[in-house]
Amino acid sequence: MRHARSFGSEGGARSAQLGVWRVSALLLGSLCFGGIVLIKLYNLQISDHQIYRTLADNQHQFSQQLDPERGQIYLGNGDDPYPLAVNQELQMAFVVPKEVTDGNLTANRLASILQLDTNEVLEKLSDPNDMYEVLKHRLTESEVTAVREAKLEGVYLISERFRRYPAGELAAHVIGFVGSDGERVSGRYGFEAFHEAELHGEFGSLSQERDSRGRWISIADRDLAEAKNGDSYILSIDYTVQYEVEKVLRETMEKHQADSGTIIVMEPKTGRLLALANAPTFNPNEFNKIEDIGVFLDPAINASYECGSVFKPITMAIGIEEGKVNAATTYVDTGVVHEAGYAIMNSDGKANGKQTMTDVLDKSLNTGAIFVEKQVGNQTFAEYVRRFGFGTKTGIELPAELSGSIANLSDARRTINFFTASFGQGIAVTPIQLVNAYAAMANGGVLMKPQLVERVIHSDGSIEEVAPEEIRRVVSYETAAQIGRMLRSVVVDGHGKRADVPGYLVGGKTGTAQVAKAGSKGYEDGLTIGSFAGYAPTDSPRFAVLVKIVNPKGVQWAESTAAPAFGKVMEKLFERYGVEPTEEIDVKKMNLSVEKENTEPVLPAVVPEKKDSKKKK
Amino acid sequence: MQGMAIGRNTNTTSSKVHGSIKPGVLVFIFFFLAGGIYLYSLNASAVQGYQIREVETEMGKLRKENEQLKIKEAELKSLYYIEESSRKSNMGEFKEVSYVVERGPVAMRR
Repeated sequence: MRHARSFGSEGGARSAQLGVWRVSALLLGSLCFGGIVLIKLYNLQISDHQIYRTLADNQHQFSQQLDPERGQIYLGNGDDPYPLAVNQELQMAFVVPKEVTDGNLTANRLASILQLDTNEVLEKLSDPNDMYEVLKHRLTESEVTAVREAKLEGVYLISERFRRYPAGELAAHVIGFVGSDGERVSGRYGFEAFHEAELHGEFGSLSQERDSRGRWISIADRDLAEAKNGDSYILSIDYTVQYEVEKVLRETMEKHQADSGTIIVMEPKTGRLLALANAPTFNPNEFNKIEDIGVFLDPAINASYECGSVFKPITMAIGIEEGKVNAATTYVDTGVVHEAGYAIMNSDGKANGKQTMTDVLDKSLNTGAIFVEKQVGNQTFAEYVRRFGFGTKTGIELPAELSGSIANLSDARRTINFFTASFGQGIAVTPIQLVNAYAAMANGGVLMKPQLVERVIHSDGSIEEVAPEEIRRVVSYETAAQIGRMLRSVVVDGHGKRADVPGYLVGGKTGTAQVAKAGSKGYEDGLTIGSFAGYAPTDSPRFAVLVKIVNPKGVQWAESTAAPAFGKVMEKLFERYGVEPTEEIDVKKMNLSVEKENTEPVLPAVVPEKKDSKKKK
Repeated sequence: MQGMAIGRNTNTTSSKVHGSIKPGVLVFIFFFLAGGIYLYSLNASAVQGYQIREVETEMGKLRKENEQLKIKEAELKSLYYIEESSRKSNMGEFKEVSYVVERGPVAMRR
């Protein structure tokens, strides 16, 4: 009994001790558990707070950058502007390789639907760790339908925004194109590049809470900063005129197998450009197929050249404005002018005796242009050349415009430079400068800024009319009128007969220039640039046009290459704008247009005296 | 006593039924109705959100179709396209225009 009692008390003590241990273990366990929970809470709430906050926000919040709609570009076309550059949403097909179960089947089907190489598609499906692989951009409607109907595992479609040029290569150099430089998509050339900021618009942002299934919670707070769409532009370029001008240029290029060409049509009163065409050209929808990126440059503004005799009317206008000569002023043409060891001759090498200033332009006499320059004086001549806009950018709204070069006129003591400049050699001008100078004479002597934009449609719907901008008066109205009559004489009696349009007072001047050698003195053998610049009707000018044809084959003279193209362009302009004929049509004069073409080679106008004397011996 | 008590109680109830309702009850009813309206409007606006989204999607689809049609129209109106189409149709440019000579009055009987 005692034993039993003692055993019972020992058991109770053990039991009590065990209870204490159990409680202690439970407490310890609870403390540990509580500690772990606290540490975890500390991690979640304090140390990693920001991470989890961001994760939660990403789950609950929907945030998106809102892309602005790029502004569109239109060509003038009466009351119905033609959309030259628009935005288009197209589908892109991509594949997630790890989701594809039957690679061969998928590759075969995709290759058949998307016109792709099967092996190429198989290669794209081969790496299961690849997040995704792009199959094809810009799917056609039938391709999209076929992909959807095929219901291939792991193949998806996604929308992409593209710039589309519905007219293809029409006005390609004016418009440029939108492309990627590897980082961002933006306007790369032409108007698209010049007005990139305005066309692009401003990004917006949207932030909104969403539910567990990712749907927007419409009653929750929404933080919205709307994107500002880009401005749209209506250009002064006339859709129909641009097309006709490009057609004339293309035909002229083909006929004379020329290397390149440019035609610019301008409205003298306003400076508005009605057409600006270059060849060779490109299709902005397929710019990535062009191998020579030089084609993207606009030779009308990015290329300067020695324009030749087409510059003589500028010299003549300076002489008339200074009161040194008039249309009837005479001089004796000996066929050559000697200066600084050089002999400067007429283009045909002939001496014509007593000649009027009208003859100087009609026969394109270099010695006559030098005579006028001499009368004016070097410094005054250089000042007028600048006032006509040469040597400075015109400010046309296109990128990378060149200012040309009249550096040869900076030293008034170098008289030979002024002599050669009087007939367009030794100074470099851009086609846009040249046509603008002619437009100034057509505009009663007032130089305008070439205008490319007619209207701006802002993203808020407001419309801004762009007013013509006058730069300065260069010569008087009387001088301009006299030049107009002299240019008409060139077309009637001079080298510009092929530029005439029966029934209209068309005036202009030819220019057959040699091409300066790149990197060395002298000119390229057999390489010429034919230009014809002028305006019509000369008594009330509506259009100023420049045609430039580079390196024509067979015939080299501008009277056979650029002048006929000029006439065709003028004819189209009269038709398009309903300009009534004012003159009686002379059938005999019309027949002159089929007279024999001058196939003589172009001779150098300036030769060193020593070489010349040796030749004579 | 009992009968009197009963009678008193009956009178009290009847006076409550026919008299004014307690303000607490009115407040309760007001909050109940306001809560109901709130829940209804909340639900309605939530549903409208989805409807708006559907309409927006539809609008986007139509806008896209309209965009495509405008582009198609511009492509078909392109003079280069017309030139190419006329060439494919063996249509040539006119070389000479012949005008009908007017003889006498404009309206002539045959």
